[in-house]
Amino acid sequence: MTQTIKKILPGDFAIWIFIYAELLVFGIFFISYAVTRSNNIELFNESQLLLDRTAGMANTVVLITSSWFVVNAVHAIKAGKEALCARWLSGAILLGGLFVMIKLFEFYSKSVEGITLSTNAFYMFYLSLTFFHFLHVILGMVILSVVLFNTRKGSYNGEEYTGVETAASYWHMVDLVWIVLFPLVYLLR
Amino acid sequence: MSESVSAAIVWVVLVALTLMGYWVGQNGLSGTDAVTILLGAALIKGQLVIGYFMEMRHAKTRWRYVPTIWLTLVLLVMAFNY
Amino acid sequence: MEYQSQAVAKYYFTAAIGLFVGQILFGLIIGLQYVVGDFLFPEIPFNVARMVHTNLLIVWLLFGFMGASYYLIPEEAERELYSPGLAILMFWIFLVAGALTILGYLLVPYSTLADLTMNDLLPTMGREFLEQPTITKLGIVVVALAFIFNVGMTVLQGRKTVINLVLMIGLIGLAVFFLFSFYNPTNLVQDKFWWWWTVHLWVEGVWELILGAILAFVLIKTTGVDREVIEKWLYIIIAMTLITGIIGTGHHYYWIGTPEYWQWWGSIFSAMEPIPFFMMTVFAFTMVNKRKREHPNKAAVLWALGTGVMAFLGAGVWGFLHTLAPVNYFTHGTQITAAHGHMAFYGAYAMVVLAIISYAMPIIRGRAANSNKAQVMEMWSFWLMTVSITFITLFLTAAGILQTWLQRISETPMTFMATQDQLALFYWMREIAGVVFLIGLIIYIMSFFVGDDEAA
Repeated sequence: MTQTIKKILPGDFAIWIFIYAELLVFGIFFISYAVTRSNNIELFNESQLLLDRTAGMANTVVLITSSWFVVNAVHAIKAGKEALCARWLSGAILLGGLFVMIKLFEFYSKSVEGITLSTNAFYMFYLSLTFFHFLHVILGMVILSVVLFNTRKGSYNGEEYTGVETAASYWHMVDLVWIVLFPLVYLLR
Repeated sequence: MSESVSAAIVWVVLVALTLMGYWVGQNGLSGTDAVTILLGAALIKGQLVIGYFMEMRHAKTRWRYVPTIWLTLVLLVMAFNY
Repeated sequence: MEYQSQAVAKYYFTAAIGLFVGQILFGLIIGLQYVVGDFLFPEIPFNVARMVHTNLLIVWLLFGFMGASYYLIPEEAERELYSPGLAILMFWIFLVAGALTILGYLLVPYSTLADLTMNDLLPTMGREFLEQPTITKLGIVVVALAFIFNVGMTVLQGRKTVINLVLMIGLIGLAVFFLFSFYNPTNLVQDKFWWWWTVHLWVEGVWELILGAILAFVLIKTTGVDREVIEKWLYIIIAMTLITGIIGTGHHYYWIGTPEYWQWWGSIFSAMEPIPFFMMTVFAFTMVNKRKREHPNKAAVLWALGTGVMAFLGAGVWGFLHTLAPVNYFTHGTQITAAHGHMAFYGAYAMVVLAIISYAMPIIRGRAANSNKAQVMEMWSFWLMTVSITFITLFLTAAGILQTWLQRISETPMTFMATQDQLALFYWMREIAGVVFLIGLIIYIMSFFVGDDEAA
């Protein structure tokens, strides 16, 4: 990375532009959901009851834990402990995989019940929001995997760990979005 | 308190708030009280992730406020619509 | 000029400007036909003149992109073009095929053209902007493949820069999405669905990558700002383009018979399509402000800055005005669309081609920049064209608002033709602005021929 650009946020500054853009998209989506709901309160309340809250809660805990693992990975590499960093990253990715599986199970159950994007406004938002977020979890896992691969290769050390922080920042964004999404879609009524 | 310890404490709080939210949902609570609790919890959880996980607490630039502003704005609009 | 083969760009740039003039002449014809309906009827009916106007636009921009690529890729890759001979051959093939197609539109009835070109073997004719006979389309594919092969080999065998790579991705994308013009479903919903895979994913997708790369190149050369800074901006800009524009395609899927969720996806994502254009404006101005040299070609810098501003206004702002589904429900297919379309195409694509021509042509002709006299003339043409297109846009916006009101919102809606009568004043004013635009273009061409005896 260029030395001429000051370090102002953890990781590469470019990822933060990307993160802010993602927050913007999700933010607009969330607000659209809230506004649409206020015009269809009964429909939304009714349909929301059919969601799998336990799966949603499990996914929240999984993602929060995964984020915490990533925090520990960054601490490890800052202390020059590359192997430990790699272990925390692997754990985070595995938890990401668990999120994916729980989510796929949720999507599968809904599809078996015949629910699609066109079923009603609530389900359109539920499926769009969670699927869109799901794609970001997958992208986050890919980014973490690349960084894990690099860590094992010895690309980072106690002084140079921008790549790890960059990936970590992105993953935390994915977590942050879910922290808003879960209560909004699954719980708020 | 070392960074690792504070991160662990944050994790515990986040999980606790999540379980609380889940409990609210499972018991079918609704209305202004439930909404306040859930949105309040989301605000705290979000801010913890932003401050401690994303390390915005240590960032030395005004850019660090962007996620917080986002979180507050989104939750406010949601509160308004419920 | 560092590499001799960069000179092939001259052919492409010359053709581009020539076709641009043709486009504007036909634009004036159809602009007049709006208010004098039987002008040039039956020799050149409105629908034929319109096809010529839009097709010439696309072809001159393609010539412009190719010229830009032939100029900048050797310089970026730090080696001669793989095959200048192939580039010149393709130039003539493209030019002749294009000319024959336009003549086909003008000289024979469209259905006769379809018969003559054996359209029934693989029907692709009859769709807006894609009116070309199938054989022309096949010719375009061949020319595009040869072009991409030529510049691709140059990049592969040379230095790979971010600008090179972004441009290549844009050009390959351009070729790939053109292939969708061959897919012509019978079902009307599907027909319209796939049509946008060429049109939208071109102008609100891969063409923006081409725009970004060319703009970045001109900025590096004229400002001397660090390559790394410019490249970082370029990455962020194209990332935003793709994030917003791909699913943003949905803003064309509101009313054509596709499911309702497109009204949400299209609105949310396309609402953010102005962001990359805003970034391009900030990018251009910031780089010029932080410049490390005073490049003698002031005109090129003016075009570069103007591209950012007009692209943001025309594509970004005017696009945003009618992109949300609840608004589009009323404005769809009105003069609002025409207003946006004109300023967007001029601001984003016409101007970036004029910017690279402004930068590169003097160098190809043997100097860093044109004489002061020539540059002043060129800058006059910049202002005349830019201000007149702005007025065209404003008049059409007014027409569109009135049209939407009278034809769709009012308690007693009027018919289409009755409404058009009410818009006549705006159409006349638009036509006058169009004449000023042509004057600007003529002055632009004159600027190539003045002041050769003076030093830059």
